[in-house]
Amino acid sequence: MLFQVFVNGISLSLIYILFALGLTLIMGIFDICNFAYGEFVMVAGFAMYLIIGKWGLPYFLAPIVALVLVSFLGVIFEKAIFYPMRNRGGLEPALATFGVSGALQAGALLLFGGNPKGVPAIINGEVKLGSAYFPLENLPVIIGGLLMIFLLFLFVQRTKFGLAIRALQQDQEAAALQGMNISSIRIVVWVIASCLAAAAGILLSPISYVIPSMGQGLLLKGFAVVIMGGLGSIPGALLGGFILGFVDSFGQTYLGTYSYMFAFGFIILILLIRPQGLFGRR
Amino acid sequence: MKLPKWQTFFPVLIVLLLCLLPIFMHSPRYLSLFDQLFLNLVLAIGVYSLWSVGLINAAQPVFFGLGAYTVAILIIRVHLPYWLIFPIAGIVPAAIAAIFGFLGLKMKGSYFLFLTIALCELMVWVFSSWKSLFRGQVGYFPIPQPVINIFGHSVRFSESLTPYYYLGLILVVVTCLFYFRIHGSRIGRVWESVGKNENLLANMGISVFSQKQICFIASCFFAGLAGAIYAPYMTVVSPTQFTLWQGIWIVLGVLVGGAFSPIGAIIGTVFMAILNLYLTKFTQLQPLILGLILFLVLLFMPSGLFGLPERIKAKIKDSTGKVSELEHKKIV
Amino acid sequence: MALLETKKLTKRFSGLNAVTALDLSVNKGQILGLIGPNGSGKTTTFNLISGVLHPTSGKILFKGKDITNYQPHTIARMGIIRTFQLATVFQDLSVVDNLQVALHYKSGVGFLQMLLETPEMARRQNSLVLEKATKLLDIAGLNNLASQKAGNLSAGHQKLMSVIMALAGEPEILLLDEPMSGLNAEEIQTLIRLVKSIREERGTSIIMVEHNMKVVMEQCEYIVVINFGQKIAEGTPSQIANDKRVIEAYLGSE
Repeated sequence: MLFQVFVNGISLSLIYILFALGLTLIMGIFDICNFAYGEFVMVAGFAMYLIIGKWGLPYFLAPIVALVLVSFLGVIFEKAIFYPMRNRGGLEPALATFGVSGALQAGALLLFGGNPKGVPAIINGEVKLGSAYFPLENLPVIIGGLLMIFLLFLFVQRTKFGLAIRALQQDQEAAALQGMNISSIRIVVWVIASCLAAAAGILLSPISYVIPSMGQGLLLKGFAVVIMGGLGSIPGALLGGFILGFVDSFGQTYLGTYSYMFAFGFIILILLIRPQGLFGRR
Repeated sequence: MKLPKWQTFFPVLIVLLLCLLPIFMHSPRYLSLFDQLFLNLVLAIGVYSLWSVGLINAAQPVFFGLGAYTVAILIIRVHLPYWLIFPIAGIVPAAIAAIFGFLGLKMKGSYFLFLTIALCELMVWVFSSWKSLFRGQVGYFPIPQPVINIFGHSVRFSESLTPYYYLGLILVVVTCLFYFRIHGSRIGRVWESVGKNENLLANMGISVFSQKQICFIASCFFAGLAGAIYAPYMTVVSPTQFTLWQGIWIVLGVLVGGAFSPIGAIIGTVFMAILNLYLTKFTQLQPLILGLILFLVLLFMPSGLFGLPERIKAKIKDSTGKVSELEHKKIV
Repeated sequence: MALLETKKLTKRFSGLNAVTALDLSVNKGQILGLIGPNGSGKTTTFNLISGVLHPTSGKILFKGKDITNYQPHTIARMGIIRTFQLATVFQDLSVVDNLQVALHYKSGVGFLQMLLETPEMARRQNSLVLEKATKLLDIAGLNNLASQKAGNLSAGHQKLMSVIMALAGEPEILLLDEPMSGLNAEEIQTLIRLVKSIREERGTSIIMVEHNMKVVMEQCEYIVVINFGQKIAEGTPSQIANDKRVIEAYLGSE
């Protein structure tokens, strides 16, 4: 039992990490909240449902479609909301995303109804490891999650774009003065963040339910992770997501309804000790 | 904000008309609509005030609910008289606001919005789960109707909705007087500047954090008082009455009306109340419609309905070639 | 004892040394110039002194008291007030309202007081503040623009405004961050006159970060030169003018 909770914790951690990485990227560079980020995950989840569950198409098609679809969504967000409103301060774009979030959820509700949809996992069953059982559905999550994170690191640390993004994180004005093409870099950032959200949705859908409001709870937690880890900090998102995944897994199993509070209480505690988050700067 | 003569005359006229309304209108449905509107206005003005310091508060229903629960608990379990509980119902949410503000106000505006959303979800959970204090999903029912003695004449709230109407009206008027006074004074200027240039203000020796705290506590105090009227009026207090959804409606009202002025908040809230009447049939479509309204207002009408006449004036001046001195008022 | 002193003030930003082991001191009534090529850490130094940033290490002493890590508004209340390079005034408020906000703290009237005071008291308070605001506007010669929206004023006038707004706090030390930038010759003269009269009449010390060498050489009594966050020279204007390291720093960075 403990082992399963542990494995569950790893899966959850990876999903939270992916989500938080995307969120911290957006918040660190654009300095706004994207309240519709949870809906990115939802869109990916429904894409998975439609392609595998409803239409019965080959499994490998679904993640690709999900990634493309959500990236498209991210680019639309950038072009329609964030770039035009980039000078209007942080609140207006955030409010706009709030509206879109509600609209997306309502749209999904209309199209699909409120009943939870299932997405079959790639691998089913369990493997016996000693005296514990390892649920195999977690395997793709763990492998996929680690792969995505690894790819992200390669991109950010080794490529020119990655360097540009890191520069933007430090100082947007200086970066612009150095002649970097800010608008295209912004689009790249959005695509990356969207892919991260889509990945979270892809990995989440087989092990959880797909419903229109699935993004909401995730957003709340993702946000808490980002704040706890420090806004814009990648190591912070990693550590924060990791911690929250385990806290959540253990909380859900052993504390039941109080797990929500436990997670939040934990985060508040960290913030009280270190208001800028674990890795934030002052 | 020195108001020209006609602008002081107009509100007085409206208040007078509202005072006289129940004499001609006996329908409980309409009395109730107006009373709800009054309470929502109190909440909306508080949200406006916070908006002027650069914070968006979607959790007004939480403090509204705290006020309502305070009344319910103190009337039913402690048997205190209503007039005594009334101010306490304002103090309790204000105290919670102070505690929440200690952590939450150190964050930037858009993050504060997120925190208020989290607070809403949290409090709904607390209201439902802390059964010993809040009695869970069932809540408190029925809430005894207050009896207030004024000049020897007993006002029984149980007899009709009219006393509630007047109580709500009094609260709105008092709230308006309070906020119009503050926002017309130097403190109002300071608060507007908090939203726009914190560093500059800190440099003048003004603790931005303290100003935000004061603003937040005040708005939650009034929200609590509104809740104190709501509790006996509805005769039931339960967690489902205080949702994030309502908080969003209030925020939208302030935005649509014009978040740069308390008058805008009033106009917008009235607008949303009318909209709500028409939208009750389409509960499924509501998020979609509201999301669209939010999006469109932000894109095309950021200064809201109240800011519209000035924008039109500015556009006309522009098109006649004159240099326009009016600028589109930023809401943030 | 120096009025303000920094001891080995250091600020590091994840690998970048913005300011390193900077020792500054200002005496009462002194006009100190802080100069250096672009990006040498001048504004960062101001940010550190005024509390906007907290140093990685080192100390800031004001009248012998350690004020390192104090909050910006506390430092302002103690008597160190600065101007900013950009966003100098509240754009959407009128000129006189800008000054009223600047005078708010010194007016000593808090929120609770405003609630409880009678209309008579309120009127008296407000006219006192208005009087002070008008006097300050007089000093800068901006009284005829009092009801204009601050954002509509020329850059020069906005700079003047920012200086008298800083003055409203009755500072002992005024930190001027590139006050002359964006001003024409006439406006520069007006500002210089204003700054000088502040020093003459109130004994306020002034630290000026400036690129305009003529102004620095003519107005400052003592100059500190920094490059790459470190002090490379200090002395009187004539000493600095002839200092090889200073010349190299400026020419080298062109």
